[in-house]
Amino acid sequence: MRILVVDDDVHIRQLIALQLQQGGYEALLAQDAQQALELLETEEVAAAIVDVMMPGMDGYELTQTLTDDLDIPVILVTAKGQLTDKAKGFESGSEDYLVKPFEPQELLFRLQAILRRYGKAMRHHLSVGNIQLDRSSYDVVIGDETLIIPLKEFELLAILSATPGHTISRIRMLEEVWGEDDEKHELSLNTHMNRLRDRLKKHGASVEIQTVRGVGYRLEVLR
Amino acid sequence: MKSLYRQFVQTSGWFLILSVVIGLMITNIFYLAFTKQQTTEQNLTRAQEVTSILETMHGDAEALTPFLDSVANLGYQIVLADSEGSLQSFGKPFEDVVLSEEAQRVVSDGVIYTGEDGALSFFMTSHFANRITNTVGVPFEVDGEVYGLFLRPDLSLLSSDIHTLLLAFLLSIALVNLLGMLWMAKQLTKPIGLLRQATQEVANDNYSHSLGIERQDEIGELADSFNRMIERLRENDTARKTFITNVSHDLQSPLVNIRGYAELIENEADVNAPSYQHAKVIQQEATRLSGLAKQLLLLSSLDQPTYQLTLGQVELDKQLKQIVSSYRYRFEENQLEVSLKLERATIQADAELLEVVWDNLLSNATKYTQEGGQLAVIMETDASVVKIRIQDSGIGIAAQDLPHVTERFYRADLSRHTEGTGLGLAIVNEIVTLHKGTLQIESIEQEGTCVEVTLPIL
Repeated sequence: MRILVVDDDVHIRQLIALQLQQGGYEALLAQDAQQALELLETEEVAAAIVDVMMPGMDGYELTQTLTDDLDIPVILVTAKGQLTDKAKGFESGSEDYLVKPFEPQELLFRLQAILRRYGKAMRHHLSVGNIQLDRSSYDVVIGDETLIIPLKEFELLAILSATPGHTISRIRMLEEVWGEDDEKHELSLNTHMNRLRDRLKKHGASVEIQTVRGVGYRLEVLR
Repeated sequence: MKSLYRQFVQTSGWFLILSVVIGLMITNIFYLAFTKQQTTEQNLTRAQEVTSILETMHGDAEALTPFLDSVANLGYQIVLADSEGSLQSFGKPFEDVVLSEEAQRVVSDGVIYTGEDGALSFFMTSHFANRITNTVGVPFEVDGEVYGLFLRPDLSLLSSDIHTLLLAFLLSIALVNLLGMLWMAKQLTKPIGLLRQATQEVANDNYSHSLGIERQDEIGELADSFNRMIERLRENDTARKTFITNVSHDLQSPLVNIRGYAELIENEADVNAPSYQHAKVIQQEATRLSGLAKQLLLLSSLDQPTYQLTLGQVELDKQLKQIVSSYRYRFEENQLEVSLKLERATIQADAELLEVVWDNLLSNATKYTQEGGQLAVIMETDASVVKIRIQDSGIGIAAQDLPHVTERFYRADLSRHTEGTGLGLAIVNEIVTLHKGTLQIESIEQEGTCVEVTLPIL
């Protein structure tokens, strides 16, 4: 997958490119908005990472063009962490906002989230018993409490919540959440399921995860 | 506060009353000094004319009555006294048809009576009272009998028309004057109100406000120089903000590079190689330096004695939610469970600074909580305050460090963790204090820390 990187600092450009390559992406580099738009006449990208402060057309303007005209999701990168800038960023249509200095892992994490979110027709909201799952923000709401849990656990809970009362096999869970059905993840699945159970109980959820021996798991609504 | 407009109206009112009093006093003096004398003399001439006619008529006593009746009809009040002391009124009768001792001497001694000053003679009104003491009296003889004639013009006939007109005239002058004053006061105080509003806007860091005052007088000049001042302030403010942004950008960009490339070295190096550790140290220090740069810039502006909060309505629950969600990655990295229990609350505050508070507190909580730990953000409100608690199950703060954590550059137990600048909580404390709130930190070592921020709703 190709990602456009626009930044006037050559080192940052290269750095982000290297980080993207390590994350399995291909990077397309531009030093300013002008060059970026020229490149996009012939090239296609899945998302763009844009620096706010650039000579010529600034990051906000470029973001507006990218999101409105070309339908490319944008992550804005800046040293300014201030609220007004953030608001300006979201106004111009950026999907996310990253403040310098950031960790490369964080950039990849956010990029993944955006790509997953963008253009994918998925049911964003799931509701079972007194819990609601928001697949775009990865929040679990139980009653008046919002819970943020590790991603893997969220995904497991989302799979179970999509079909409450139905048993989901361990194999399917491993495939969907870990991407492969491998024995080395078996233990991990158990641990995550146990933690998830504890969390649901502790925060007063009206659902319970039941183990179906030898098959998998099932989400039951408590009465 | 007494408004300027009210003061103006009140003062005009007082002046109106005062002018009426002074006016009356002056007329009073004028009347007593000149007019009264004149009127008395005139009345006396009238009375003497009447009596001389009566004396030359050679009629008998019977003829007096119809004659005096007709004189009275011309607009006079007349009392006729005979030597036996009996009185007869012609025209509108007086309040009391009794002669004073002084008046009785007209008949008994044949002297001329020019009225008497009563107890309230300082006021001219007493001279208009419907009393015999305000008449002039002259003696005369008819048929060898001595009579006294007391006379004065009938004021009730005199006053009616012209006086009503005069009164209406005076009242309308007073009314028009008063209304004019009110209008003038409004005109003068309106631009002052506008100026006050504009200074408040400037105090809140809003320089886009322009005074809508177009006048050719001193107030117009004041408004012009005020607008020029705002223009200069706006330029200064923009320059300051641009400077901070530029400094921040120019500091952070190289730090991103240092950190990023150090990480690349770390990734390429063998875990056991010294270069792996060295790269890690470079990363950590670059992170610390970049945090320090940000915090010092913030502190340098907070420390200015003229620092003004940019107040606005802040929806705390939304703000907290937004910041917590920007921490997703860091939570994920440490496999933390984060629960939010937020009541809705909107307060008057500086949104940008409050964001710094939550950012610092969440950053601490994440930094000092072990993998798999828990974090809770709870906001409760009551009538006057909002309480925001950020609770973690982290390593906690030692009892001897707890009183010092809000001091600048204070860092507990340096050997344990090298991250952090020692400025985070100092900044939090400063911002909370600027919002007239309180910061309370409780901690048990190895069990966790709870930071409670209390902010007033108003």
